[in-house]
Amino acid sequence: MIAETPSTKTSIEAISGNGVSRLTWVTGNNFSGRSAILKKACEHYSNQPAAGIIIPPEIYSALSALVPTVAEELLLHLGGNPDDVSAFQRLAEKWGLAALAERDPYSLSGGEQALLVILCKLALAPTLLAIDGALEQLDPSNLSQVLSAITTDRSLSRPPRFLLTHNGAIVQNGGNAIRQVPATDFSDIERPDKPPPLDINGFEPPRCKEPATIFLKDISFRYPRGKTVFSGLNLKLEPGRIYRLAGANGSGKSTLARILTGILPLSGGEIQVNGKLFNSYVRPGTLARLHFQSPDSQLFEDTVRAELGSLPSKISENAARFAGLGGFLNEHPFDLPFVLRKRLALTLILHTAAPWLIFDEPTLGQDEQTRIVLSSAFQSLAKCGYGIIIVSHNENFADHVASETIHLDKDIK
Amino acid sequence: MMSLTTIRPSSRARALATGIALVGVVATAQPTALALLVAACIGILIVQGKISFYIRFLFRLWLPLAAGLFLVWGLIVRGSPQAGYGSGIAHGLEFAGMVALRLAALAALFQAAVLSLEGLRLAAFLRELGLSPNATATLVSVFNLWPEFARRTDQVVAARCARGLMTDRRLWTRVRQFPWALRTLFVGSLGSSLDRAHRWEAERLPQRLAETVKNQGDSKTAFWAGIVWCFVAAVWTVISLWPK
Amino acid sequence: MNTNVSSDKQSLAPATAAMALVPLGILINLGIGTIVHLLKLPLFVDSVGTILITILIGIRWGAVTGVLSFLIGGVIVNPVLPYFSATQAVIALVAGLFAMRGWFRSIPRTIITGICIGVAAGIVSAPVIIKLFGGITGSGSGFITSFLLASGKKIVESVILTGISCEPVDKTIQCLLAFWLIRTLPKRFRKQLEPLGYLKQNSPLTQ
Repeated sequence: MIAETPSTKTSIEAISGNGVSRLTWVTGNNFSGRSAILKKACEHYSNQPAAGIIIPPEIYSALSALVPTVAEELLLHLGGNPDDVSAFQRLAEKWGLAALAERDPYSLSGGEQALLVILCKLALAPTLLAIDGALEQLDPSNLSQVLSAITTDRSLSRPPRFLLTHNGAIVQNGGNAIRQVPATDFSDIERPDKPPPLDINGFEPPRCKEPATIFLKDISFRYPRGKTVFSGLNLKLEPGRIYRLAGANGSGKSTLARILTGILPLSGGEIQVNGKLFNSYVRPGTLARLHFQSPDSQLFEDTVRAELGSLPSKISENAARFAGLGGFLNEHPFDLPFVLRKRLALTLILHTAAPWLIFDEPTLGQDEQTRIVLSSAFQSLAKCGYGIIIVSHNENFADHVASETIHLDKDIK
Repeated sequence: MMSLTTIRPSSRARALATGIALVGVVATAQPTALALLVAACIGILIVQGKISFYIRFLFRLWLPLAAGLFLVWGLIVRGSPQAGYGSGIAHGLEFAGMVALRLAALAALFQAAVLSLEGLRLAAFLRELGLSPNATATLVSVFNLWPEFARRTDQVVAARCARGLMTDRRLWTRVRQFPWALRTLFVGSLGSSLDRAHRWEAERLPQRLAETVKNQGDSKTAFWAGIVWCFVAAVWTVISLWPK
Repeated sequence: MNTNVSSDKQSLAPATAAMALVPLGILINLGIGTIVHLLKLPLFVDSVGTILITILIGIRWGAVTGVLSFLIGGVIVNPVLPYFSATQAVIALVAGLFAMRGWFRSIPRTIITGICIGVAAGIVSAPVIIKLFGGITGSGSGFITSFLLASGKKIVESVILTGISCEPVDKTIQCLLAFWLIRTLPKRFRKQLEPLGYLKQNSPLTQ
């Protein structure tokens, strides 16, 4: 990869016009202006339809909602670009989308939606395609495939230039160089004010009142009129430990998280907590609480203050300080950018009082600084007797913080 | 030989046939005509593979409604508007039966006419009726977003549980969730909707949809199938309205 | 502190707003039943979307939302709904006339608005109920009509009395829901929508 020297000043013109490299990675921490750079670069082409396209971190909002299947979504986007049909069909096969052809695009996982949206927006033959954080939803092998296609595939008749932002490592095997440009090098954009970072010194969880040892005995789950997600699962989860749930899409990671939280009822088997039978469905949120991948469904109030007010009062002050949201207490949660909404949603679960806390993709959209603090927070909670479960594609983060990995697609007895 | 499932009437013929039959359904006083229509529509729904939708409607909506009608007209009012209120249980039950049959026929007619229009076929249908690309996209998106909306609703209710804001499933606890769940659902959906609309404009997706469905136009088979549908609908309507 | 770089700066053309909000309004009209069903509540609300879209982007689009909801609902929910499309248009009209004058700004005003919408809806629905059902549907309000008939009242009188006694309660609940929802809209949406409908007239006085 070619890194720009810090002294090089770069303009939006230079990377969105006839830049040197086909793919430019705009690097930097949260609030360094990366998203603004991508947006402004796309605005450069706003006088031509679909010439500058941006894919946001909330992938589902980039789906068209005009067709019911994956195949038709691609067909819709290809409509004006018949020359590349075979090239796109080949890419769709390679990225595993052909197997999902009859599926509803909204029913796909985050990673699958990311692949579909990238392919569809490529099919519009833009001059510039900006991918703002969407690549974080891809697992490492898909990420590598996409980058390889972006940088080396010559079968597309009019390949665009690419700009991307990505929190995490990009490892590319061979192929053309990815040009890295720090966001701080850009002088001609309006930067947002940077809020305070997460403050681990503000994180003081109380000791867990009732640490809970969970024993899942021969549990099974099947959706009504649907497939069996898992059966005969036996697992012991001990408090004070951090577990990582791993497995392919459809192996039951989210399902297990929802069963423990009480969102879904068991189809078979039983849950024992400290040796006693426990029905999580009848008492949701008492054994475990869950942070969803997307924060938007988890925020219910009209101010950040009211949202944090759902926590006990002393804890809510600490939570505001920890999250760096002290300056946003009167803001509507949905007026915050995605990164801060995610922080708020994470903070609400980190400071809640259930014996087990489950986090689905906690590092999505978060920079390295934030990940370090999250890692410390999880470890503090574990030391206080809470049990932590993480579901994450970010193997570096998950392997670093988790003491044990549970593979759900292997038979656990 | 062409399979039945591939023979589809043209859009305009479909709309016309439905309109003609609708006149008969609303105006007829002959239960046998309505029953015949229901049977024919059930046949169409079976061929289209959409019969389960109609059966679910019958059990979940129609049966309770029909039971209510029989109770009210048969046992409470004990009469009918034509024979006079209080004219007798038999008149009441007969009237209730006619209304229930008419509702079943209305549902069967609408569903047979529209349910087979999925995906791009629905867009083609609307375009052929003369709707603009933007109007077509707006209507089509309702059907595509319906499952997503239901999923999002499910997610929001699940989130109340996941945050420990709904710690039991008693009625009053569930009632208390409603305003907050609705607000989050609305605000989240509003944001996505606005972003989507901006994207439709920037990427001209409604126009692409119109282009994509342009060549899904009607063949000769569809034209003649449409003629047959309209003819059959007209004959049935005339028979159903024929004075006894 | 300005940390937002999202679509808050984009102005919203009326046509774009309609493309965004009409489907949402339709989904809310038809879909609130999903929340109600998931929570297993003994409620029925079918016009919140119509009222909301009217306040947000005007009477015309509110009426389109209501009418389309009931036409689509006629296929996938209840075949009787299309016959009450005119009622939806009237709901949008009355809601819009009140919203223009800021009658969704406070709870007491919203209640009065709901009552007026309910009375209008009850009167407009009466001919359809009489023609299609003979005056009595199989739902809860039908029992009220039947008792009025049994007490000697004429059918038209009974249906209208039922309508103007039941509908105001239902429509008031729905107006209060719409009030609740618009009151707490995020600023970035408010800025985009205020030029298009009656949101500004109905903002809480403290904002």
